[in-house]
Formats: sequence, structure tokens, C-alpha cells
Amino acid sequence: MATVQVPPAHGRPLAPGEIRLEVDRIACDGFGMCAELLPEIVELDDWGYPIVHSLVPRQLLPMARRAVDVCPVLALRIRQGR
Amino acid sequence: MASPTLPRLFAGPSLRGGAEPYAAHVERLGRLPSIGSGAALIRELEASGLLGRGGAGFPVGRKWRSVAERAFGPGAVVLVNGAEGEPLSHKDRALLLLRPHLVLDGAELAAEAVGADEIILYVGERHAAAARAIEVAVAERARAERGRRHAGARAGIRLLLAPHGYVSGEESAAVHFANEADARPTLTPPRPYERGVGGLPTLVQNVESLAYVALIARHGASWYREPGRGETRGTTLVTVTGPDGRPLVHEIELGTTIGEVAGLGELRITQDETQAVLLGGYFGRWLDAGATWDTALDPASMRASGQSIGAGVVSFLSAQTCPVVATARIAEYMARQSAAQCGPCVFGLRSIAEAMIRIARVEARHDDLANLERWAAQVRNRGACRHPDGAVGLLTSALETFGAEVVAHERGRRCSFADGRSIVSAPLLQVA
Repeated sequence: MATVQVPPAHGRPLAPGEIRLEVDRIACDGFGMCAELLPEIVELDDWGYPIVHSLVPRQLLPMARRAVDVCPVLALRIRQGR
Repeated sequence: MASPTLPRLFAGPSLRGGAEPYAAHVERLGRLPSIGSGAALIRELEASGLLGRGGAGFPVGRKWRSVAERAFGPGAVVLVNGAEGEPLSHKDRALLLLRPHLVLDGAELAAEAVGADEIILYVGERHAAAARAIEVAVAERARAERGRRHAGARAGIRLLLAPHGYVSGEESAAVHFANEADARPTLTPPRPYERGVGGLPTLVQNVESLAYVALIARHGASWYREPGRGETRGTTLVTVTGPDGRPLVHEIELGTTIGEVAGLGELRITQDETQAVLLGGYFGRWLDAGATWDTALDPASMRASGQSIGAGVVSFLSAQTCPVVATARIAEYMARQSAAQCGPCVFGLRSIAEAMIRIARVEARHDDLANLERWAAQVRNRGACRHPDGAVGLLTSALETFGAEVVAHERGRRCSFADGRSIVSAPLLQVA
């Protein structure tokens, strides 16, 4: 069961150095590969759709890039503050 | 309630006569004033403090400025939003039906001020009388103004009928429909003021907001700010629904209390016969009648306590009606009205509605109530648009306001209202 924290909202400006994994909610079909690759920051809700509950720590950036690449419906993107 | 400054939008000839003709409108208010540079009118709107009347309450002047800043060069579009998908709201179609030229004045002023070449009138497809009235009004103006047209009237006008449905009036959905005949919300950003109809900066503005602009352009910001009892100045349209379900549209001074609204016109609803107030429609909140009777309908002070008048819906729930049943019906409606694009909205609202209906029928599963609270938290903020947020906001307010009755249904397996069981005996839910 997913514990819900307030996810960092899309569109909110990022501070320099902050990295966010963003989900296109319309494209997402709940394949759940992002949660498998990034269990530290992605949980699935009761219907299998991802809840991204925190920003991407720098050491997980390579794995986040991989999640973007393998998402079957290309619903993920990485946004970095500058 | 009697205020010397009211009515304002509904001033003029008797409302029983239907739409005010263009000649009468011009005789009463004069032609549209020349606004010179659009910047002056935008400053006047900012000074007026006018808030958008589609539900979100965004300041009108600031919205126009955002579009005007981006329109320099490529041009822009004005989308007049009269979709009015909220089932409890009737004020937009009433305004289009009775005072279409105020709306068109506002649209032409908007086109001139933000530099738009096109005006799109977006009216609910089931509001046929309103759509007809605005169509007739456009034709009247074209005839009367031939050869000496106001600058804003140079913009082309087209009428689009908004598909029936709750989310059709959401601003990205309206733009999507104008672009691709698909009235489902799109991912934002970009927001319409950045990139809207035809890729151009687009001002999406509710019809009531535009009607007030028509008056502010003539009488000024300080005239607009004369009425108002609290921090937010001015007047607003509200749709009031009593126990018989018949909607009445009124124009009120901002800061009028909920109890005063209950007594308006032929309604005369008393606090004794009222259990709760649904403020803001299906996107709004249930409030206990006793606790909220003296609440002022003042957007600024309401915002401070987490409330909103939304699109001006004030609906009174009779003391004889089961609030759990009423909430289950709304939850079911909102689940069906999902645009079916985002998983958390499609599956979350469906699960929430199913659990709420089981509770209303006193057939709850042991974990339904706990699930409702968890699902509300999971769904919030996870749609492309705010539809799921609105639905769970209303549900959460029901759990707070009617907690004892929800528990009576869920644990005690009983409804305290005579009509409870009978109302929910028929199957409510058919989610695709």
C-alpha cells in the first residue's frame, strides 16, 4: 500500500540542482516499470499508477534516465533546475 | 439585501422580455467606449479587483496582461467561456439569454485590449436558448454597426457548441475543442495564455467576467468597487438551489451572507429546514448549515478559511434528505464525468464512488471508509486537470461535515433519514 506524501507538483519551479521525474498523466498506462527501477522515489497507487513522492537524488539520476527510456508509453521526463 | 446599486448585470428592461435587443442596449448604456490603448483598460480592470467567474477566481486584469504581453506580433484569440458544465450552475446561460450584448461588448473589448483577431463563443450544446440568443445578438450587431465598427468588432466571431460534460469548460479542454474538436483537458503547461487556439496566446474568460468588463469600461473601476461589504469589492451572480431543486439566479453584493441568500426572492429557505449547504457546486464543499449560516460570500475572507464560492453555486440540502446519499450521487456523477484520460482519475474516482454508494446503501465493506480516506489522498493532484481534486475535495468535506451519519451507515447499518433506503435501492453506478 502506497503511503502518500505531497508530491512535488509539476510546474513548480525547481531550485538549481534539483531534479524532478515528471509523469504525463494522460500518457501513463500504469505499466509500473518506473516503480521497479526507482523504488526509492516512486510507489504505485492502488490501481498501479505511479506516485512520485520526492525529487530525484543525484545518485539516482542514471536510473531515472533509464526509467524514462524504458517507459513503454514514453510518459516520463526529467526536469532539472538551473 | 436591498442595495441601491443592484442589479447591475440584470439592469434594464424586464427579464421576462428575454434578450435585451441591441438598440435598447445601446440606448441604455451607449456605444462601446473607445479604449485607446488596451493598456489603460487592463489597468482599470486591475484596479477594479474583478475576479474571474468561471470558478477559479483568477484576477481578470492580470490574465489579460499575460495574454497581451505575449500577443504582440503573432496576435491572439479570445475564447468566451459559456460551457457551464457544472450541473448546479445556471447563471452563465441566464446571462447569455437575457443580456447577450454585455457579453459581446466584453468580448470585443477583450479582443481589442489583448490584440486578438478572433473571438470564439463557446456555449454548452444543451443550452440551446442561450446559444440562439447569442447568435441572434451577433447578427444584430453586424447589421447595426456596418461601416462604423468598433475596433474590437474587427475580430472574426465564431460560435462553438461545447459538448455536454463536466470537464468541457475546463480551459485547456475548451482550447483543445477549438483546435481539434476534442473537449478533453490537455497536459499543462503550456497554459492557454501561453499557447492556445491555433498556437496563439488565448484569453479564456467566463461570460460573466466579460459582462462586468462591459460595465467597468463605461463606468470605471471605482464604480465597480462601490458595493461589497468585505475585502472583495463588487457584485456577483449566484445560482441558488433549494429543496425543490429549482435553480434561481440572483445578483448579490459580495459579502452577502449565506443565510441572506437563503431568503432571497421566492426561496425563503430557513435555517431550521436546512441541514447543510453545498458551496461551489460539485467542485465545492459541504458545510454544516448552522456553522455556515452567517458566513459572508466574500472570496478574500473565504479563501483564508479554505473555502470558495467557485462559480457562484449555493445549494441548500433539506433537513429531510440523507447527506450520505446526496454525496454518493455526486461521487457517482463525478466518476462518470472523468474525461477517462488519467489513471488515478478513472480508477480512483470509480473506486471512491463505488465505496460511497455501498456506504449509502448501508452495505459497506469493512474497509470502505478507511479506503475512501486513503484514496482521496492518493488521487489528489494526480490528474492533468483538476477534476479529481474537485471530486475528492467534496468527498473529504462530506466525511468531515456528516461524519456521524457516515458512521451510522457504515458501522450501524442504518440511515437516519426516512428516504435513505428507498433512494438508493436502484443501482446508481454504471461506470464504463
